[in-house]
Amino acid sequence: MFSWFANPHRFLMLSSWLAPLFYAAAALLIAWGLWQGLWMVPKDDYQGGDIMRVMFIHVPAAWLAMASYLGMAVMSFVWFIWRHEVADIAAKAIAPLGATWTALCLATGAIWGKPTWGTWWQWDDARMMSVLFMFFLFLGYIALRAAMDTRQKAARAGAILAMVGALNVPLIKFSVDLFTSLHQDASVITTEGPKMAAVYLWPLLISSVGHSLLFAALVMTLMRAEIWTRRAAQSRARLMTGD
Amino acid sequence: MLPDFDSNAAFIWASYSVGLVLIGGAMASVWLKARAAKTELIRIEARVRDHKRG
Repeated sequence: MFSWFANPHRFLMLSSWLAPLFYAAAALLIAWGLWQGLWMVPKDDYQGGDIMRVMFIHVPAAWLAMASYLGMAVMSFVWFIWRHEVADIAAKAIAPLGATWTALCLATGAIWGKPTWGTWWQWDDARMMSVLFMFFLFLGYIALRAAMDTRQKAARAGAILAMVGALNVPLIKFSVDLFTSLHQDASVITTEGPKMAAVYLWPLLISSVGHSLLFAALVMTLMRAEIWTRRAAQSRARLMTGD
Repeated sequence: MLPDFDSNAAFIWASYSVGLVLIGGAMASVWLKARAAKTELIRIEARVRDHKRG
């Protein structure tokens, strides 16, 4: 199956209709999530009143930040084992977008923290620090690739960093259970099922699916750009050598 | 019409504004990059075709 998707030409054909479909679905779902989160759901006084509405952007960003890092690590692993070019292109495309959603998670978390906990940031909070570390892993991945003089070296160095850094993802997930944290315990993804009321849970899940579809569409667009850039470079090289 | 929030309205709007800026910025940069890459590929392929024709 990997080999079927590893063909750049096949990927371009597939993504030419899949990406616009994802953009359209994402626009609808995010708009519905915003409408629900800002206008429709009642404020929760137990969670500090209206400030809990930040959840509908902070939590999808947090989930997507972790999922995108895992996606980058899996694509890196596929490239590392099978040397599929499209997997490397995918990992490279995920990095800047993963960094963007991680930055969104950190920024909205700080804004939510101030009125809720009385502080923008807590340096000894394991959840905050492990997400900040993931943000630096994304930036480090981008910088490391850019520092290499060949595409092969960039792919290898990036893949190793992405795979090693993936150890941080379970640490983020379980940090609230293992260490002292200002964050509450998990309330959606738990072994007993979601503890959150359905009126909040559904808009949260729909928003998260919308963010995920937008993210996937943007990754596909960046991958298409990278494939076109590589093709242009090959054509330019042929032009130079007169082939 | 904007919803009427309690005393934390500024924090809520700040969160969604950051989201708009970051996600909007990411979308704009991705689309511009893709357009530039496609334009460059079309330009190079045209040069290759011209080169083959002599």
